[in-house]
Parts: sequence; structure tokens; C-alpha cells
Amino acid sequence: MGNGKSDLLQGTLDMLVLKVVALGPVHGYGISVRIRQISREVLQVQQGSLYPALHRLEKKGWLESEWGESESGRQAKFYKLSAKGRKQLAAEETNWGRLAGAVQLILEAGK
Amino acid sequence: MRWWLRALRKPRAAELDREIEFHLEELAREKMAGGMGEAEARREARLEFGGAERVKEEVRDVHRIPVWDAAWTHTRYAVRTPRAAWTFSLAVIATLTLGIGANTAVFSAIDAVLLRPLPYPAPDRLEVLHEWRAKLKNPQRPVAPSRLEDWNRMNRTFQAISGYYVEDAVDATGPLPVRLKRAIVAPRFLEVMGVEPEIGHDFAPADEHFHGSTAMSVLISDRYWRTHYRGDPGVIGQPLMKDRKSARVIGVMPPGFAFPDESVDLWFVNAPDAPYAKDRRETWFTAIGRRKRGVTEGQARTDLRLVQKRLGREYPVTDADLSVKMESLRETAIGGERASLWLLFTGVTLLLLIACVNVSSLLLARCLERGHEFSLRYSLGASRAAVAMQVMVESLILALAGSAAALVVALGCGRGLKSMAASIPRIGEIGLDWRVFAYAATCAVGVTLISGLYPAVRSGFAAPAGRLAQGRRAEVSRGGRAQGVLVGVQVALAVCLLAGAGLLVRSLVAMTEVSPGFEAGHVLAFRLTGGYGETGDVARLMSRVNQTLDALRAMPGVEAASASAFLPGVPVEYPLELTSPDSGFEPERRVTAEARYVSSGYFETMRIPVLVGSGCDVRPEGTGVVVNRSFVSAYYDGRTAIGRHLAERVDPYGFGPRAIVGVVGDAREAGLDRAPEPVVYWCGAPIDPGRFYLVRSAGEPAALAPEVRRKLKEIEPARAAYDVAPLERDLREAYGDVRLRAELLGLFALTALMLACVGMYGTLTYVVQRRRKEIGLRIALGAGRAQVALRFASRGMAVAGIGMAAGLGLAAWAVRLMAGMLYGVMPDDPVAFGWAVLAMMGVALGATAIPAVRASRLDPMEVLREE
Repeated sequence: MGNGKSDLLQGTLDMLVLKVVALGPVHGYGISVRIRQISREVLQVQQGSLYPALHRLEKKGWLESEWGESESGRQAKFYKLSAKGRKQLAAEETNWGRLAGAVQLILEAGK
Repeated sequence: MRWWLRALRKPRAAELDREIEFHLEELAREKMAGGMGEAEARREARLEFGGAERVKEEVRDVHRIPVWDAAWTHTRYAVRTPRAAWTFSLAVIATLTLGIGANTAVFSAIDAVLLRPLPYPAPDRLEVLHEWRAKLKNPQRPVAPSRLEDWNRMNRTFQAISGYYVEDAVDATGPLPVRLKRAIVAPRFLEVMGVEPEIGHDFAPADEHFHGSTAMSVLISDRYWRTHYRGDPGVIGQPLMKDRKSARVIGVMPPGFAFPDESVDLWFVNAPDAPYAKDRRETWFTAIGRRKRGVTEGQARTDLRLVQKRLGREYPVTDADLSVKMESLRETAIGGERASLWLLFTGVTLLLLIACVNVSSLLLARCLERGHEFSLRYSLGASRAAVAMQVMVESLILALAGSAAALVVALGCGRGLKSMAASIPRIGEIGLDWRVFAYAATCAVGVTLISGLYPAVRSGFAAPAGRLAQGRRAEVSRGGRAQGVLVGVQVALAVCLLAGAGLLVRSLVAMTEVSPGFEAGHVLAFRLTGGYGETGDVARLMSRVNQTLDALRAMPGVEAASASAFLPGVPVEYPLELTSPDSGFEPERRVTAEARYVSSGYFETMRIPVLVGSGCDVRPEGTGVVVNRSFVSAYYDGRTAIGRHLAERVDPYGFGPRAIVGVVGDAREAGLDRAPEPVVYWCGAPIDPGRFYLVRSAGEPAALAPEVRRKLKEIEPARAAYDVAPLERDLREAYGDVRLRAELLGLFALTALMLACVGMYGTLTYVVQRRRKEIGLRIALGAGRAQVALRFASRGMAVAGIGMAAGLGLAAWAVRLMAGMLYGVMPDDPVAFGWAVLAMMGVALGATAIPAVRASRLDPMEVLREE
């Protein structure tokens, strides 16, 4: 992590993908770009691992997909959040909040 | 997107390719925008993305359903594997085709005869009713018309009761008169059957009352309608026969309607109030009733018996001794065939088991051969379950292939059965319906479980590491026990089948070799159509029969001719209870004898020796009786019988006492398989319309048939001669089921023997093959070749011996299935069992000797060099 970049914590990729997709329909490349941008280049998604995750989420019914035209005018597969995915995202955010809070508490102990 | 659309939209490879391609290009564009050259940007993008193929594989994994996918892999693998070993697969499939095919064929017969419901609405509520005279030797009698009406009126448990009897009719429209069968039914017949005419209507109430005229209504069969009226829908109201004042057609029955049997073409109704139908002693009908919904058989039976009790009080003379016999229609129709069919089914199931065992040892041998492959799969991370499952899937595929081929075999066998066993009721309905398909599929699964499970488990538990290290070396005395057990089981099952078939064949031989006491050769038998109505004028009927007989006797080539109510040797029981005013029988003594009604010339025609007195040629006709030797020794015991008088205890026709005019030799009148028993012959032309004519010819009886037909046409133009055939053929047909049973079981037994032989040979050959090195080593170290051969042969024979002993035990238990089917042999007949063991022993010797000798001829140098 010395270069100021961070690998993703196990299990958080799904949540991040859902969150990014919640902002509006987006294709796979777009998701990887946005995660990088929003996290100010800290979080680096293994580009390859993004696709199995996307298909898994779609299979679970949290994401829906549709082919459409990208900003560059080419055909790309756009993902958007389903109602079920929205609920899942809310649940994961709450969960994450609790987890992060708990980790924070431990780290602050004894300060 | 809706869920089902999503489900339909499987990620196609092309789509995934496009998605990832897009990503790579966007990534490359970004890098080019940052100042990289195109080629370098693409390379960088690819590096950053990671292996595109690996990613695609991971995505595909996401979409897989694990179990289904594993099964698919196994299946693909299994299909590929047998292809590699096609001789093995062919052997397995052929064995299973034979086993399942024969089994399914017999099952299709059971399905047609026993399982399929009778083709009437709610057939379970149909009951066949008879009068029952418990005091008589032959207690079951048909039902009198007036009594049938009483039963129908007074009971509270039946929707309706009707009845029928069948008699001849003649179709004189063609060049030769042709016999038809017509049923005379009691009122309410169609109501009971629950069937409506296809065209027209049921009998009207007016049809069921007597008007004193001959104008009648008739229902015709679909077949008769098509052949005689060309399927003309305007048939209703037309006369049945064009030339006389004849019955009018009122309806056409539906195509499948075949009651009382499938050769009946016409149904007439009998008016119970006709003067000739009123006598309560005239018993005509086989009654059939339909129970009300919700009424049990027991309730119906009790109800009818109470009704008959009341009738007994009302008519003490005719009804006091009577009761009611009730049996379900299904039981009446097929009851007699059940034991035979289940016996065959047991036999054919044993055969299938042998086939399974054979397949099992083949699979086992192959699994051992593939030990190396399995070990490799283990080491590459396959689980034991996966390997076991692979073996199971392989055997399932083989079994399914076998089952599919078996259906074709079953269809063919079913056709064969249909023609061979035409006498079995409903056998014509054999066909492939869903039940037969389901059965064949079940067989496939069962076979897979039986034959695949053991090899699968064994392969699953083979110690992987050790096996892999060991390779194919140092195979010494291993893996033989399981195969030994399988071979033993096979031998046991085969011996059991052989013993059973031996018993049946011995019965058949005993039956054909026994001297029946009459000479069936050179006798032509036939029947002439006639109706029960003719019995109203007995004198006229007798003179007509005698005229026919005289005309026959005058024909060239005819040595003798006679008429009889029954065919000699064809099983019919007609026991009568007799009294004799002047024989000095003790009053309590029951004197019973089989009754036969024969014309003059009978003993001459049948070559039954007349021992004392004369045959039935006494005048005036219809006065004497003749008894056989058994009768005399049973009831007269040294005293002279000639001149004494005999009468029926119950004498509905009023024959009265008749003098014994002669004593004849014993003949097996009531069946070739029945030991001689007391018989009393009532002399005089038999008055029953179902009479048989017997003609003894000098030459071949069949050659006489056309001549006889011509003659009959001349003297009896209005009657049809039918069932014209040599008596020997009638006898063969009468025992067709015995023959069929013996032949089929014999066939199964031989097949079993063959399978067991193949199994033993294959297994031992395999064992020898596997232990080549050990054998080579032994020979090299100085073991004698004879010793080696003996070692293998004795081991094989020991297994076979244990199998044979077990098989004999099994057979001794299984012969109880044959109760009532054996004739002239005891169920523990040493000859049949001895032959079974000998046959098995011979086959076992051959099957073990060849591989054993081959083992002893191994060249040690060659074997040891193989490493």
C-alpha cells in the first residue's frame, strides 16, 4: 500500500458496485473509473474481477442490464440498480457503517 | 427487465466478449489520451485488465448451476468413455436389452391382462352372479330367468342385475353359411354395463315383454355394422336377415364393446315373462350386476343371500337349497391366468437379475481396469463421490440404451405372445402404453442401482495413493472375492430357473406321453350351429343329429362318426351326483361321476374298448347308460353292474333312472392331466346345442375336412360348420397354456444358462488376465502347468458349486409358485433338479476350463518381459 493505493477489502466490492450503479446507469468500464475517481485514486478495482461480480449481482437480481450507447458512441452494456438492489445497498451501507464504527472504536482505544 | 426475461437471457459468449472488448478499448483510449502510443496502450490495458480468458471463465462459473453442471460433465464424460470401450458397452447393452426386453414383454402382458381396467365405466362394481347348490358336487349353476328378475327386484344393494348367455347364429348371406355368436341378454343389460349404443338406442321396455310374436329387436356390433351394412348410419330399423321376418336393428354398439366376448356380434333381449322362461328350474343366465356406489362386496353378497333365503321360503321346492355365488367380473375374466403370468414374471425377473449381475461384474472388471485412471482423478482433486457418481452415470447411460432397445424387443415379443397365447383373455390388448414405458424406465433405474452401485462404491473407496503408486504391477490375488460372489449369485439364479423350467417341461412330457384311453389320431372334430330354442322338441333334435351322423357315416373314407356334448380329453368338468334304486348303495354314500353325453358310435369312433355289454347303440335311443371301469371298481366292487339303474340326484330334464348297458375302459375324458375317474356316459344324441361331431377317418383327418363341409352344406344348408379341425389339434390347443408356460420358462432358463456361462467365462478370463504376472512367476518358479490350470478351474468350480447349492435351495422354495401347474411330477422331482445341476455343471466346466487351460499355457518369459 506504499504507493498510496489500496486494494479493496474483501466483500466490499459488491457494495461499492451497487453504490456506483445507484448513481445512474453505467457500464463496467465506467464503474471502475468512478470507483477510482470518487475514492480519489485510493481504491483500485482489479479490472478483471469486476465482471464476475457484475454478473453475480445481476444473477441475484440486484442489477439489471441493457445495451445502450456509450459517451464515445459505441455499444456498451449498461447496468442499473433494481428495486431489490436498492434495498440490498441500504442494508449493506448500514452494515458497513456499523463495522466501520466498530473498527474505529478499536483503533481509538487507549488513545 | 422481468424475471423471466432475465432468466431467458442467458449470457451468451459473444455478448460477454463484446462487453469485455468494450472495456479494454475504453481503457486503451484513456491511456492514449494520456500520451501513449496505440500499441503500447493496448498492451497496458490488457495487462491491467488481467487475463481476459480467465475472467470470462469466472463469469461463466457464475452462471453455472453446480449439480446440474456436474451431472452434465459426468454424462459427457460417460458417453465419451463407453465409446472408447465399445465392445464392453455393446456387451452390457446387449445383455440388458435381452434382460429388460424379456421382462418388459411379460410385463406388457401382465399390464394388458391384469392391470388395465376393464373397458366399462366403474368396472370394479360389476359382479358375476351364479346359483350355488352347496349340496352338489358341481354347485355352480346359471341363473333361472324368473329368479334373476326376483333378485333384481328384491335386492337393495345393486343398481341393476342383468344376465346373458351365448349361442350360435348363422350368417347365410355368403356362399357358405358362417357361424355368428349372439348373446341373449336379460333386461337392463346395457344399464348394468354402463354402455350406450353408438347409434340408435337401448332395448325399449316393450322389447323386454313377451308379445307372442317373433318380431324382435337386436343390437349389432360395430364390426357387424361395418361388414354387413357398410357402416350405413341409416341401419336403424332395418331387418337383420333380408329374407325372413326377422329382428330389426335398433342400435349399433361402440367399437370397443366386447362383452360377453369379442366374437359376439348380436345382442337379443329375452322377455322374462315369456311362458318358456317361467320355469324356475330352467337355468340359463350368467347373471351380472352393478353394485350401487358405496356398497361393499360383502354387503352386496349378504343382501343377495338374504334375498335368496326369502325366495327359498316362497318357493320351497325349487329355491330352498339355493344360495348365491358372487365373484367380481375382473376375477372371472382373468382369475385363471394370474398364477401363470406371475410365474412367468418371476422367471423373467430372475433372468433380469442374472443380466444385472453380469453387467455388474463387467462394470467391476472395467472399474478395476480403470483403477489407474480413477487414482489419477483422485490425485487431481476429484472427490470419492464424484468418482462413484461417474460410475453410476455411466451405468445409467448403458441401462437407458438397453431399455430403449428393450422396448423394441418387448414390442416384438408382445406380438409373439399375442399369437402364441391367443387363449388368454385380453391378451390382444398388449401394446406399449405409458405403464410399459414407465416400467422400462424403472427397469433402467433399477438395473443401474443393482448393477452399478457395487462397482461405484468400490471404485469410490479404492485407496487412491496406493493404487497410483502400485500401478499395474504386483497384482496378486486381489479383487477376486466380489466377482466370486457375483458369479455364485448368477449360478444360483440360473439353477433355480432351470429347475423350474425342468419341472414344467417334465409335466408337459408326462402329459403327452400318458395314454389317454382313447385314440385321438385320425379323428376330425367340428361343431354345427344350433340354438337352445331347438331343445324344446327333443325328439326332432335327436333325429336331426342322427340324420347328420348317418350322412357322415355314408361318406367314403369315414370309419365311424358320433356326437358328444364335450370333446374327450379337453378339460371340462361336469360332475353329477347319482342315485341308484337297485344297486344297494348305502343311503349316506355319495355316488359321483363325471357325466358325458354321447351318441351311438361314440366308443367305436374314439376306440374306447367296450369291456362288458354294449356301447351306446341301444334302441330305442336315449335309454341306457354306459359306465367306465373306474366307476365299477369304485362303486360295485366285484358285483355286476350291468342291468342296474342310475339316475341323477337332481334331475332337471326328467331322464329318470336308466339301466347300465355296458362297461368301457377308462378314458381321460375330463382332461389329459386328470387321472382316470368314474365316468357315466348318458346314451343318446346330446341335446345341448354346443355339441361336437367326431368323425374317424381312414386317412389324414384334415384331408377329410373339405369333403365334410360340402356334405354338411348339402344336408344342413341353414347351419354353419365351425371349429373344423383334427381332434389332436383341439387337444394341443386345450393345453396350449401349459405348453406356452413350459416353452417360455424353458427359453428363459436357457438364456439364463447362457448369461451365467458368459458371466463365468468373462470373469475367470479377466481374473487370469489380471494375474498373468503372478501366474508367469509361478510357472517360472516351477509350478506345474496342470497345477495352475487346476487351481483356477477348481476355484471356479467351487464358486459354481456353492451357487448351485444355493440355487437348489432357492428353487425348492420357489416351486410353490407352480402349485397346480405340475402334472405327473412332484415339486421336488429329483430328475428335474438333477438335470438343472448337470446342465449348469457342464456349462460351468466349459466356462472355467477354457480360461484355466489358457492360464496354464502362459509363457513365463513373455509375461515377465512385458514389464
